[in-house]
Amino acid sequence: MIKHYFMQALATLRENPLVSFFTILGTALAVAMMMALALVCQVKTAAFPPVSERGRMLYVYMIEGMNEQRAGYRGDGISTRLVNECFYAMETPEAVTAVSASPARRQVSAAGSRRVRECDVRETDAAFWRVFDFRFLHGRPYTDGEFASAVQVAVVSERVAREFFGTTDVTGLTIRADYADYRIVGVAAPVSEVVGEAYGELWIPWSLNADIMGGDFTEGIGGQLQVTILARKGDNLEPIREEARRRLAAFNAGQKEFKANIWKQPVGSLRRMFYREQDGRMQGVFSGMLSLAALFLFLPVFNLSGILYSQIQKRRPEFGLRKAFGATTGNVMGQIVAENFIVTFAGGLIGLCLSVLFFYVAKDSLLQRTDVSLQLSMVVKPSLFAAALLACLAINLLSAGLPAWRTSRANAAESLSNNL
Amino acid sequence: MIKQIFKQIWTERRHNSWLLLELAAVTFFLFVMTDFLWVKLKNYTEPKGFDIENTYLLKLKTVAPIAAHYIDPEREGAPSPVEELYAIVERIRLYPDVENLSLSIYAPPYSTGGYWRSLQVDSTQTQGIRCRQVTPSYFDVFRIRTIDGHPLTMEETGYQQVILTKDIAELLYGNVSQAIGSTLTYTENNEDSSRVAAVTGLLKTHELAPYEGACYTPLTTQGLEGFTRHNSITRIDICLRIRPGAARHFEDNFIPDMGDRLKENNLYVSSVVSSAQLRDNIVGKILREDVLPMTWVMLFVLVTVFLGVFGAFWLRTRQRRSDIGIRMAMGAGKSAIRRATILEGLCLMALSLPPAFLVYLNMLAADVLDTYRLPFTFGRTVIALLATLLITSAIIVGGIWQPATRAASVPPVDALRDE
Repeated sequence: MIKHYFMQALATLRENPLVSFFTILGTALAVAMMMALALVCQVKTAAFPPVSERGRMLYVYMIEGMNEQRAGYRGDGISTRLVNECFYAMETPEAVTAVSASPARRQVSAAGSRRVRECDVRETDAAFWRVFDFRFLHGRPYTDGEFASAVQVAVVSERVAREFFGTTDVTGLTIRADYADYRIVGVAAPVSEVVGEAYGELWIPWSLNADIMGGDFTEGIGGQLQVTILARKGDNLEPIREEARRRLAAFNAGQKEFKANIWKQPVGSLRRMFYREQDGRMQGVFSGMLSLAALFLFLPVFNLSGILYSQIQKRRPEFGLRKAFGATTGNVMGQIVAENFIVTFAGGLIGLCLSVLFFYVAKDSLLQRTDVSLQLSMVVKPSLFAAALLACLAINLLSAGLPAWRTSRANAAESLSNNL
Repeated sequence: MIKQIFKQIWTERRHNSWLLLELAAVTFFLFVMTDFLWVKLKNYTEPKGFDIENTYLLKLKTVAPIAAHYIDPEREGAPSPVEELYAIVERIRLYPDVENLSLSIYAPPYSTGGYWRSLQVDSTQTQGIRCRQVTPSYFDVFRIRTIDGHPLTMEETGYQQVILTKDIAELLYGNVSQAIGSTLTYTENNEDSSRVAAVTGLLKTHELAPYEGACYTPLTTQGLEGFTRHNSITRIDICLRIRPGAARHFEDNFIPDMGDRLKENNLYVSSVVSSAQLRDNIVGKILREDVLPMTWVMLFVLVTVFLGVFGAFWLRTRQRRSDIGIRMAMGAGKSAIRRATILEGLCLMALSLPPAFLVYLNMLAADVLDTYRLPFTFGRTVIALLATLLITSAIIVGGIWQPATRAASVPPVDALRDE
């Protein structure tokens, strides 16, 4: 049966190469569009070192501290006091880390090297290394003790090590950032800029930074930190949100004027991608391009059904004959949809390749980052193929469904007489 | 002929309504798209009034207390931040590649900061104008010229002078020659009057921004000291113009060559950024994140519409085999059949155009589209109309060509036998 459908589909394709070309092009376009969107989500939420555990990660990256007149602070930095009282104190999760909300540019140099340039420095605590699984080439992360006593230590990325020292084994050496010296305790594999929550070229304890330690606008709410929470394996995430909310309420109870608000946070990585604060609320914000693309997604499908309709109409006598010999409406419809699926699938494969190509070409504007080094493992994943298959199925049903339904319902005698 | 085509379109209104709806949506989208791209192109190609080739911006920073050799700024006898700055600047001037150097506050091209003051002459007032404090060499560093293309002059001293851009001078005095030498006051402080020393050509902050009036005042040592009493000295910009041809090695070598000479007590130069890089941070970002995706989506939509038109007419000519046969039997030639089919498509487009155009005009009038960078003018709508018309016609003719040729190649006998 399948073989028969396959032969039939092939024959239809051969019959009019131009129409076949446009059918496949239409499918490929629709699939490519959907897959490009899927790829953006996939790359931004992909789980790979140092974020292998993204499925268990929850984020708090925006906060507001407002008084009754709705005046105060709203931004992406949380104060050290609030982090201490609300998040470090949490018991449900496995680990909680607070890092500087965005990497800071600092002038980096090393003794014996002429190289001087500004690097992205991320200020973290020691738990950072337990939440994110950085691959260490040499040495170790800094410890809780080193963080607590504000020792001038640093972890550098492999790229920085090579750039400033010409080798990767640089543990024990000293690196200078903004004229302060740090002893290198570890060398980690570089991390891509799309991993906004952990990205840096150089990591140092934020206990060294007086501005972060003392940051407390609006009664100790606003500051410079953001929080990533790692849930225990297999745990439900809801109790963590519950605990965060409870602790925040306790914090607010002690506030005189300004109350902290974290909306629906902590949120997972997919939500983090789309959730922004707007007009005092957390909302899903899609970039203009993405929403436009989604809007125009159905155009190719709609157009395909026009072409398919004329293809199917031509074969009415054939379906009439089948019905005359006892095939049900469902049989005929199934045949049309199945045959069409073969064509859709071919188009889908092309579309998938197109989308990967397109993604590589347009990744800067799609990811809104300029130097993202994509690894193949971030792009080619089983989930992508599953999504593509799903997209094909959807296009197939949407575009072939209606023409198939109309044709297969037709009276057998009428179809046989071929009155178009 | 046209009448007959419209009659046919009306008869097949059920089939046509979907296509019309799609065409109208796409036409509207094309209006917005071409308009958006036109505004960007127009802005981009306008002369911007300054020259950033071979110019660099030095970023200042102060070290944190954990740094080696940190000096407590509160200690007795510490030099003032301005003295530290001047010490660094003098050493930079000696660097062989440096041709010219200027100090400024909120002034280099592509900087978006600033403070706004409203200027007044007699009863004429301006809105808030971006005021920029610069040393006289600033105009040489960025090659900002008078409207006749002459270098600008500003006295080193003399607090009470300003340089205006052409648009502001014309607004206040009617014309440029009247402006030079006249005085103006600031609305918030009528006592403080200044003399207009020169007028520059039109200026913009970056390529994709509209022309924006500005008011330059000289940055004196006194002014610097006043500024640093309330603000960090790191907000002062040091701008360099280097000798032509030196750019290739300058960026990599400047900081290593200078070494500790770029540091004075806690103040130091943390990075050297080319103006081209600053430009890319703003203009490149807009091109990458707004213009490019728009172009992708536009391409996608165009291919899709092509597909839609092709599909619809493929179906249509199949359904009309018999009446095409009759028309051919009655003497219509192949080219006449093809022309009629293509004309039908163009008529459909013509029907979809007015509603889309009206919506577009309304959006322009209501400032939903970008009327800040380019005003709502007759010319702008004509350009969008022409571009949209051209693109849609091309797509429609391209999409219908093959179905129309096929329709015209039906042997009349076969077509009639179907009947």
